[in-house]
Amino acid sequence: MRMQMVDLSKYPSALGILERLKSGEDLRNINLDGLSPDVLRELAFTIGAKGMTVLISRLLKSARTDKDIEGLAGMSLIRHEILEVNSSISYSNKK
Amino acid sequence: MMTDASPEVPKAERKERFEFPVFKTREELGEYLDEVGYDIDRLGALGDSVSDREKLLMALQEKHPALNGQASALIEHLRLNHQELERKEGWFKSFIKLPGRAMKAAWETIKAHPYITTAVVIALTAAALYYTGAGASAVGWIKSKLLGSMIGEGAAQAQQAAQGAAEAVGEAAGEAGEAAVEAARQATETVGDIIPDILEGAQDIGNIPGSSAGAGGTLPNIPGI
Repeated sequence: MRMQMVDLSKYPSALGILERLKSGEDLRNINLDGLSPDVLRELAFTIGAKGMTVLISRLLKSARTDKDIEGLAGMSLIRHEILEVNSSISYSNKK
Repeated sequence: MMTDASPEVPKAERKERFEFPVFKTREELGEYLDEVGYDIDRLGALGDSVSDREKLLMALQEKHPALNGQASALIEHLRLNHQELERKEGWFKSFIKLPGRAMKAAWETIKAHPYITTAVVIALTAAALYYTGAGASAVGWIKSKLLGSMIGEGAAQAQQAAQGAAEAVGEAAGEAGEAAVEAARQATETVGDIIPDILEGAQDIGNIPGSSAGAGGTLPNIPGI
Protein backbone atom coordinates (compact mmCIF):
# COMPACT_ATOMS: atom_id res chain seq x y z
CA MET A 1 0.00 0.00 0.00
CA ARG A 2 2.85 2.38 0.76
CA MET A 3 4.08 2.09 -2.80
CA GLN A 4 0.65 3.16 -4.01
CA MET A 5 0.69 6.08 -1.59
CA VAL A 6 3.99 7.44 -2.85
CA ASP A 7 4.07 11.12 -3.80
CA LEU A 8 6.95 12.17 -6.02
CA SER A 9 5.52 15.57 -6.95
CA LYS A 10 8.36 17.26 -5.10
CA TYR A 11 11.00 15.08 -6.67
CA PRO A 12 10.80 15.40 -10.46
CA SER A 13 14.32 13.99 -10.74
CA ALA A 14 13.01 10.67 -9.48
CA LEU A 15 10.63 10.64 -12.41
CA GLY A 16 13.61 11.47 -14.60
CA ILE A 17 15.20 8.18 -13.59
CA LEU A 18 12.16 6.35 -14.86
CA GLU A 19 12.34 8.21 -18.16
CA ARG A 20 16.01 7.38 -18.59
CA LEU A 21 15.35 3.70 -17.97
CA LYS A 22 12.42 3.80 -20.35
CA SER A 23 14.68 5.21 -23.01
CA GLY A 24 16.92 2.19 -22.65
CA GLU A 25 19.67 3.50 -20.40
CA ASP A 26 21.47 0.85 -18.37
CA LEU A 27 20.41 0.67 -14.76
CA ARG A 28 23.98 0.64 -13.55
CA ASN A 29 24.79 3.90 -15.31
CA ILE A 30 22.25 5.79 -13.25
CA ASN A 31 23.34 7.49 -10.08
CA LEU A 32 21.47 9.59 -7.56
CA ASP A 33 23.49 12.78 -7.93
CA GLY A 34 20.64 14.83 -9.35
CA LEU A 35 18.21 13.94 -6.62
CA SER A 36 17.46 16.07 -3.59
CA PRO A 37 18.47 14.35 -0.33
CA ASP A 38 14.93 15.03 0.81
CA VAL A 39 13.77 12.18 -1.39
CA LEU A 40 15.10 9.97 1.39
CA ARG A 41 12.05 10.96 3.42
CA GLU A 42 9.64 9.54 0.84
CA LEU A 43 11.84 6.59 -0.04
CA ALA A 44 12.43 5.45 3.54
CA PHE A 45 8.74 5.43 4.37
CA THR A 46 7.92 3.58 1.17
CA ILE A 47 10.39 0.75 1.61
CA GLY A 48 9.77 0.76 5.34
CA ALA A 49 11.89 -0.52 8.19
CA LYS A 50 12.41 -3.85 6.47
CA GLY A 51 13.72 -2.17 3.34
CA MET A 52 16.03 -0.01 5.43
CA THR A 53 17.24 -3.12 7.21
CA VAL A 54 18.26 -4.65 3.91
CA LEU A 55 20.12 -1.52 2.84
CA ILE A 56 21.87 -1.37 6.20
CA SER A 57 22.85 -5.03 6.18
CA ARG A 58 24.22 -4.71 2.66
CA LEU A 59 26.14 -1.60 3.59
CA LEU A 60 27.62 -3.30 6.62
CA LYS A 61 29.38 -5.67 4.27
CA SER A 62 30.95 -2.92 2.21
CA ALA A 63 31.56 -0.11 4.71
CA ARG A 64 35.20 0.91 4.64
CA THR A 65 35.51 4.50 5.74
CA ASP A 66 34.48 6.70 8.63
CA LYS A 67 31.97 8.36 6.33
CA ASP A 68 30.42 4.97 5.64
CA ILE A 69 30.02 4.41 9.36
CA GLU A 70 28.48 7.85 9.74
CA GLY A 71 26.07 7.03 6.95
CA LEU A 72 25.22 3.72 8.58
CA ALA A 73 24.42 5.53 11.79
CA GLY A 74 22.10 7.86 9.90
CA MET A 75 20.33 4.99 8.16
CA SER A 76 19.98 3.17 11.45
CA LEU A 77 18.44 6.28 12.94
CA ILE A 78 15.95 6.46 10.09
CA ARG A 79 14.99 2.83 10.60
CA HIS A 80 14.58 3.39 14.31
CA GLU A 81 12.30 6.39 13.78
CA ILE A 82 10.17 4.48 11.28
CA LEU A 83 9.69 1.69 13.82
CA GLU A 84 8.82 4.23 16.50
CA VAL A 85 6.15 5.77 14.29
CA ASN A 86 4.81 2.35 13.28
CA SER A 87 4.45 1.20 16.86
CA SER A 88 2.83 4.43 18.00
CA ILE A 89 0.07 4.31 15.39
CA SER A 90 -1.61 0.95 15.02
CA TYR A 91 -5.30 0.31 14.62
CA SER A 92 -4.82 -3.39 15.10
CA ASN A 93 -3.88 -2.80 18.74
CA LYS A 94 -7.08 -0.99 19.55
CA LYS A 95 -9.63 -3.02 21.43
CA MET B 1 -5.89 6.35 -10.13
CA MET B 2 -7.90 6.18 -7.00
CA THR B 3 -10.83 8.09 -8.40
CA ASP B 4 -11.09 5.41 -11.04
CA ALA B 5 -11.68 2.87 -8.30
CA SER B 6 -14.70 4.46 -6.70
CA PRO B 7 -16.89 4.58 -9.67
CA GLU B 8 -20.24 3.76 -11.08
CA VAL B 9 -19.40 0.31 -12.38
CA PRO B 10 -21.34 -0.85 -15.42
CA LYS B 11 -23.59 -3.82 -14.71
CA ALA B 12 -21.74 -5.97 -17.20
CA GLU B 13 -18.54 -5.58 -15.20
CA ARG B 14 -19.96 -6.16 -11.76
CA LYS B 15 -18.74 -9.72 -11.58
CA GLU B 16 -15.17 -8.49 -11.83
CA ARG B 17 -13.20 -7.94 -8.65
CA PHE B 18 -13.82 -4.53 -7.16
CA GLU B 19 -10.61 -2.54 -7.16
CA PHE B 20 -9.98 -1.12 -3.73
CA PRO B 21 -8.90 2.50 -3.88
CA VAL B 22 -5.70 3.72 -2.26
CA PHE B 23 -5.58 7.34 -1.16
CA LYS B 24 -2.41 9.40 -1.01
CA THR B 25 -3.75 12.03 1.35
CA ARG B 26 -6.05 12.24 4.31
CA GLU B 27 -8.18 14.76 2.44
CA GLU B 28 -8.83 12.35 -0.43
CA LEU B 29 -9.80 9.57 1.97
CA GLY B 30 -11.99 11.99 3.90
CA GLU B 31 -13.84 13.00 0.76
CA TYR B 32 -14.38 9.37 -0.20
CA LEU B 33 -15.89 8.62 3.20
CA ASP B 34 -17.94 11.82 3.15
CA GLU B 35 -19.69 10.46 0.09
CA VAL B 36 -21.10 7.62 2.18
CA GLY B 37 -21.82 9.91 5.12
CA TYR B 38 -18.94 8.73 7.29
CA ASP B 39 -16.46 10.78 9.28
CA ILE B 40 -12.83 9.83 8.72
CA ASP B 41 -12.01 10.45 12.38
CA ARG B 42 -14.27 7.54 13.35
CA LEU B 43 -12.37 5.10 11.15
CA GLY B 44 -9.61 4.45 13.65
CA ALA B 45 -12.06 3.50 16.38
CA LEU B 46 -14.26 1.45 14.09
CA GLY B 47 -13.43 -1.76 15.90
CA ASP B 48 -15.10 -0.37 19.01
CA SER B 49 -18.60 -0.22 17.62
CA VAL B 50 -20.46 -3.04 15.90
CA SER B 51 -23.36 -0.77 14.90
CA ASP B 52 -20.97 1.83 13.49
CA ARG B 53 -19.30 -0.84 11.41
CA GLU B 54 -22.63 -2.21 10.17
CA LYS B 55 -23.70 1.26 9.16
CA LEU B 56 -20.55 1.79 7.12
CA LEU B 57 -20.88 -1.68 5.58
CA MET B 58 -24.35 -0.94 4.33
CA ALA B 59 -23.42 2.51 3.06
CA LEU B 60 -20.46 1.16 1.09
CA GLN B 61 -22.47 -1.73 -0.31
CA GLU B 62 -25.19 0.64 -1.41
CA LYS B 63 -22.76 3.02 -3.09
CA HIS B 64 -20.74 0.26 -4.73
CA PRO B 65 -22.94 -2.68 -5.73
CA ALA B 66 -19.91 -4.23 -7.43
CA LEU B 67 -18.44 -4.94 -4.02
CA ASN B 68 -20.36 -8.22 -3.97
CA GLY B 69 -19.74 -9.06 -0.36
CA GLN B 70 -16.33 -7.43 -0.16
CA ALA B 71 -17.54 -4.45 1.85
CA SER B 72 -15.98 -5.79 5.03
CA ALA B 73 -12.65 -6.25 3.28
CA LEU B 74 -12.94 -2.75 1.88
CA ILE B 75 -13.42 -1.36 5.36
CA GLU B 76 -10.28 -3.08 6.60
CA HIS B 77 -8.47 -1.80 3.54
CA LEU B 78 -9.62 1.76 4.22
CA ARG B 79 -8.58 1.45 7.85
CA LEU B 80 -5.15 0.26 6.79
CA ASN B 81 -4.92 3.14 4.32
CA HIS B 82 -5.91 5.56 7.08
CA GLN B 83 -3.37 4.03 9.44
CA GLU B 84 -0.61 4.33 6.86
CA LEU B 85 -1.54 7.94 6.13
CA GLU B 86 -1.26 8.76 9.81
CA ARG B 87 2.05 6.94 10.02
CA LYS B 88 3.36 8.81 7.01
CA GLU B 89 2.35 12.09 8.56
CA GLY B 90 4.04 11.06 11.80
CA TRP B 91 7.16 9.98 9.95
CA PHE B 92 7.41 13.30 8.12
CA LYS B 93 7.22 15.13 11.44
CA SER B 94 9.92 12.87 12.87
CA PHE B 95 12.12 13.26 9.82
CA ILE B 96 12.25 17.04 10.22
CA LYS B 97 13.58 16.61 13.73
CA LEU B 98 16.34 14.19 12.76
CA PRO B 99 19.87 15.62 12.73
CA GLY B 100 20.59 17.10 9.33
CA ARG B 101 24.16 15.93 9.42
CA ALA B 102 23.12 12.33 9.98
CA MET B 103 20.62 12.46 7.11
CA LYS B 104 23.19 14.00 4.81
CA ALA B 105 25.69 11.31 5.77
CA ALA B 106 23.10 8.60 5.08
CA TRP B 107 22.31 9.99 1.64
CA GLU B 108 25.95 10.48 0.70
CA THR B 109 26.72 6.92 1.77
CA ILE B 110 23.86 5.54 -0.31
CA LYS B 111 25.20 7.42 -3.30
CA ALA B 112 28.76 6.30 -2.70
CA HIS B 113 27.97 2.59 -2.87
CA PRO B 114 26.89 1.40 -6.31
CA TYR B 115 25.24 -1.68 -4.89
CA ILE B 116 23.03 0.34 -2.58
CA THR B 117 22.45 2.93 -5.28
CA THR B 118 21.13 0.24 -7.60
CA ALA B 119 18.67 -0.96 -5.01
CA VAL B 120 17.48 2.58 -4.37
CA VAL B 121 17.16 3.33 -8.09
CA ILE B 122 14.93 0.29 -8.56
CA ALA B 123 12.84 1.20 -5.55
CA LEU B 124 12.44 4.75 -6.86
CA THR B 125 11.64 3.44 -10.33
CA ALA B 126 8.90 1.25 -8.95
CA ALA B 127 7.60 4.20 -6.95
CA ALA B 128 7.69 6.40 -10.04
CA LEU B 129 5.76 3.78 -11.99
CA TYR B 130 3.04 3.80 -9.40
CA TYR B 131 3.09 7.55 -9.15
CA THR B 132 2.65 7.94 -12.89
CA GLY B 133 -0.23 5.49 -12.87
CA ALA B 134 1.47 2.59 -14.60
CA GLY B 135 1.55 0.49 -11.43
CA ALA B 136 1.10 -3.21 -11.78
CA SER B 137 0.67 -3.00 -15.53
CA ALA B 138 4.36 -2.14 -15.76
CA VAL B 139 5.53 -5.45 -14.32
CA GLY B 140 6.22 -6.81 -17.78
CA TRP B 141 8.16 -3.73 -18.72
CA ILE B 142 10.41 -3.96 -15.69
CA LYS B 143 11.06 -7.63 -16.32
CA SER B 144 11.87 -7.33 -19.97
CA LYS B 145 13.55 -3.96 -20.20
CA LEU B 146 15.25 -3.63 -16.87
CA LEU B 147 16.02 -6.78 -14.97
CA GLY B 148 15.63 -9.16 -17.87
CA SER B 149 18.35 -7.39 -19.79
CA MET B 150 20.62 -7.51 -16.76
CA ILE B 151 20.27 -11.25 -16.47
CA GLY B 152 20.89 -11.53 -20.17
CA GLU B 153 24.28 -9.98 -19.77
CA GLY B 154 25.19 -12.81 -17.45
CA ALA B 155 27.25 -10.55 -15.26
CA ALA B 156 27.50 -11.81 -11.73
CA GLN B 157 27.66 -8.27 -10.49
CA ALA B 158 24.43 -7.38 -12.22
CA GLN B 159 22.72 -10.41 -10.79
CA GLN B 160 24.00 -9.51 -7.38
CA ALA B 161 22.70 -5.98 -7.77
CA ALA B 162 19.32 -7.27 -8.83
CA GLN B 163 19.20 -9.60 -5.88
CA GLY B 164 19.97 -6.72 -3.58
CA ALA B 165 17.31 -4.64 -5.19
CA ALA B 166 14.81 -7.40 -4.74
CA GLU B 167 15.65 -7.67 -1.09
CA ALA B 168 15.51 -3.92 -0.70
CA VAL B 169 11.89 -3.99 -1.66
CA GLY B 170 11.16 -6.81 0.70
CA GLU B 171 12.20 -10.01 -1.02
CA ALA B 172 13.70 -12.83 0.96
CA ALA B 173 15.68 -13.68 -2.10
CA GLY B 174 16.55 -17.19 -3.13
CA GLU B 175 18.91 -17.73 -5.98
CA ALA B 176 20.24 -14.61 -7.59
CA GLY B 177 18.63 -15.26 -10.96
CA GLU B 178 15.23 -15.88 -9.51
CA ALA B 179 15.57 -12.85 -7.31
CA ALA B 180 16.27 -10.66 -10.31
CA VAL B 181 13.01 -11.69 -11.94
CA GLU B 182 11.19 -11.49 -8.67
CA ALA B 183 12.47 -7.97 -8.11
CA ALA B 184 10.00 -6.67 -10.63
CA ARG B 185 7.11 -8.29 -8.88
CA GLN B 186 8.41 -7.09 -5.56
CA ALA B 187 8.86 -3.58 -6.81
CA THR B 188 5.34 -3.29 -8.07
CA GLU B 189 3.31 -5.54 -5.83
CA THR B 190 4.80 -7.02 -2.72
CA VAL B 191 6.05 -3.91 -1.03
CA GLY B 192 2.45 -3.22 -0.17
CA ASP B 193 1.76 -6.80 0.76
CA ILE B 194 4.59 -7.06 3.28
CA ILE B 195 3.71 -3.88 5.10
CA PRO B 196 1.42 -5.66 7.59
CA ASP B 197 4.23 -8.11 8.35
CA ILE B 198 6.64 -5.28 8.86
CA LEU B 199 4.28 -3.48 11.13
CA GLU B 200 3.44 -6.60 13.06
CA GLY B 201 7.10 -7.18 13.71
CA ALA B 202 7.55 -3.57 14.60
CA GLN B 203 5.13 -3.87 17.48
CA ASP B 204 7.65 -5.80 19.54
CA ILE B 205 10.75 -4.08 18.29
CA GLY B 206 9.26 -0.67 18.84
CA ASN B 207 8.75 -1.30 22.52
CA ILE B 208 12.42 -1.81 23.20
CA PRO B 209 14.07 1.54 22.59
CA GLY B 210 11.52 3.90 24.07
CA SER B 211 12.59 7.26 25.42
CA SER B 212 12.30 6.01 28.98
CA ALA B 213 14.68 3.14 28.39
CA GLY B 214 18.43 3.21 28.58
CA ALA B 215 20.78 4.59 31.17
CA GLY B 216 17.97 5.89 33.33
CA GLY B 217 16.34 2.49 33.63
CA THR B 218 16.55 0.27 36.66
CA LEU B 219 18.58 -2.89 36.40
CA PRO B 220 17.25 -6.01 38.08
CA ASN B 221 18.87 -7.06 41.31
CA ILE B 222 21.87 -9.29 40.80
CA PRO B 223 22.32 -11.90 43.49
CA GLY B 224 25.66 -11.78 45.23
CA ILE B 225 28.12 -14.55 44.69
